[in-house]
Amino acid sequence: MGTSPTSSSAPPATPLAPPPPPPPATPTAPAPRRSQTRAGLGTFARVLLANRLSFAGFVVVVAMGTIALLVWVDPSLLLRFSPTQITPDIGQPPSWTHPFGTDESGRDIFSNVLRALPLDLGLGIGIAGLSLIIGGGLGLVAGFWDRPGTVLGVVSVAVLRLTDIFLSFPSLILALAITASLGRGVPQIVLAIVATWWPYYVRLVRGEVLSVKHQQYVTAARAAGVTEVRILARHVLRNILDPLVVYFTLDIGTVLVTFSTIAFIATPLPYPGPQPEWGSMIQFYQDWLAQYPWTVLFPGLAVFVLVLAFSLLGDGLRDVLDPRSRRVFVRDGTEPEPPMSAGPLSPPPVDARGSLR
Amino acid sequence: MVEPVLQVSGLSVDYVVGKGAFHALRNVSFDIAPGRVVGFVGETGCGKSTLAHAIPRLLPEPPARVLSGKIVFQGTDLRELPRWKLPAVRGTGIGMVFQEPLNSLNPAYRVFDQVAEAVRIRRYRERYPAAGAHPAGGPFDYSKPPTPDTAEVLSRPVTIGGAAGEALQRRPPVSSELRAEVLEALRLVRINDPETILRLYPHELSGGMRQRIMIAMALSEKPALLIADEPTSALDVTIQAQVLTLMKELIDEVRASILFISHDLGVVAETADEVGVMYAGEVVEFGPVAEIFHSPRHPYTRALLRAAPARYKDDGDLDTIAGSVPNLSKLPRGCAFHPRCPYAAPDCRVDPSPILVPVGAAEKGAGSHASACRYAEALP
Repeated sequence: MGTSPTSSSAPPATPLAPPPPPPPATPTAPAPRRSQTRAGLGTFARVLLANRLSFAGFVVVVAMGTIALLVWVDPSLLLRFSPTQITPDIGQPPSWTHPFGTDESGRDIFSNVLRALPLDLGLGIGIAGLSLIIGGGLGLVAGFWDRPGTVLGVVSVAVLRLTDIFLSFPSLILALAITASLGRGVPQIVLAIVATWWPYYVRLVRGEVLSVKHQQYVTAARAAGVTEVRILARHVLRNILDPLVVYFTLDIGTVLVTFSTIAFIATPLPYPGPQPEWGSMIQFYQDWLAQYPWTVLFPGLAVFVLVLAFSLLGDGLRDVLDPRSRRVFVRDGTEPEPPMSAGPLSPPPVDARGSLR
Repeated sequence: MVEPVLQVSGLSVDYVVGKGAFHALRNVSFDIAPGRVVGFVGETGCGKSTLAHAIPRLLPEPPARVLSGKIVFQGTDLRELPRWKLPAVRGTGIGMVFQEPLNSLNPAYRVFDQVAEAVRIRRYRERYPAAGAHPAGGPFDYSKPPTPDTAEVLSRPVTIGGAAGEALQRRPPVSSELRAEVLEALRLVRINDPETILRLYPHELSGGMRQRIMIAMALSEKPALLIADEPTSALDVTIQAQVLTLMKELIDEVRASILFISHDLGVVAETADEVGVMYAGEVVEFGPVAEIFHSPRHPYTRALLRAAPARYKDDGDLDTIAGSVPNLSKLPRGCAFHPRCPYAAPDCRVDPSPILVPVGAAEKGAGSHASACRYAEALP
């Protein structure tokens, strides 16, 4: 009882610093002496900093978010040209005036790419979020109340069969078919993607709920007199939240790609126009690829960078959200932070990341 | 005659697996009087844990199926209560401590949040005693009741009258009060520095600490009946001893009615007032602890007692019970114990054993010793 878990999960000692002396044995005090596992902002930053890639992802996402917000509030803060404005510079390669170059009519690509950022970012988060709410909600019900013979048991079976039906179609094809029948426009594409996206969340959430709801602590909560709804909200949901947030973050990137793909293949949004969109831009400029490659390169690069950033951030979040791996990064709060960047060869503690799920 | 806190009568539970059914409990009947500690012993798989879970209706159904019987808790048959009313009975009515302390705490919350949840439930029910709910009460009380001292009473905030004051008073308890109660609960289970423990996550605690916290949570709801389902089995031996000592102290201190389940005869002998011996889903003998251990009236109890290792003695090989536990889906005809019973008579193989008949002094109306053996009196 006297052994504190702190000692077992301490990071490997740096070669320069001798390991701290073991705490004096206190047979009467079985408790671990001190511990700091505050999942506060400090921890968040430290864990993200420990892994440079996920920190880069975090920085890019924050930067993109900030830029998107600024552009959305007032485009003239950052952009010199309006998206449809025709300048005398026709087909110019990237320069200081036109960082991403211009197209065959003299439109500024930089303005268009940045104008598309709020839309694409918002759609990525919005579509993934909508799918999370719809699919996740259904998954919670289907996973938690699956007692056969009850009303909710029948509902959960119905939800699962419906999910199977939707999953049996290739999602991109189904989304394309839906947009093709609904016509052009942002709401149509959103609807099409959400319609194909929610079943994955049902599966994910239901699976997680099933694994959590048979845990002893759920039974213990029930034995303590906690009501079923509260058990679901407080005990089950909280314990599936971490994988869910990680999946959601990774998913934003996937949604972005899918949205751009649909816009590129099937139903491009009107371009050139007041509201550009990356997929539609690529679709519009594909004929000019040989002459003005930057017109296609930069919208594509924008998608690539954003998707990559969300993937890296998702990986980093996984480390922050798991209290067991968090321990490795954040040592006793009274001590100075161990040098994480001790040298170019000091790797991030691999066992912490490898021990996940 | 005081009305018992819990009356279980004729409880039978099956586990339905595929087309077969395991008869986990068969016709179990017993009472727990207020303030008494009832122990249940038996081998692994004899239905002890099923019994513990069946009482507050925590068995997962399916696969479990409660076939018959009554579970009358403070005058209410829990089997007739609709499912949504059960939370009102659990916790403050029937508290529970589980076998596996390692998984019984939610890994996502700090100790404070978990204990506070239990404290909140009790406080809420004390405040709004709903119909059918079991607010704290009954025989549960600390031997040292907290006496309000004058300084504390004087330092209480002045209450505001009128509708606004009422609205204020209806608010959930302020966190400092809650915190004090949580600390109190942790001190009750002999945690030395509760302030530190409060901030920890379960994975930072040892098994013994977690079990203490589980006990603290159960007790902080002040249940009328506490079910302890092998609270020490999953711990290693030294910690077992510590937790057991704690349990024994708490039993004296708390004076709740307790259903104590264990496979360890010694533990039950030390803690319980009355003992039930279970075999293959049946209670084969039930009676005051002294009578069970000194004049057992069922062949299984005798064999079990003989098989218990005597500590500090080396008498050669341990006695064992010949044969093995019957398959619960294919119970032998007649008495379930007859294939292993050295005293089995021909009719034991054919006729089912009687359900607990009074034996010994109880036959004449004194005491409550009962055995499920038809030859209880004739045993040599």
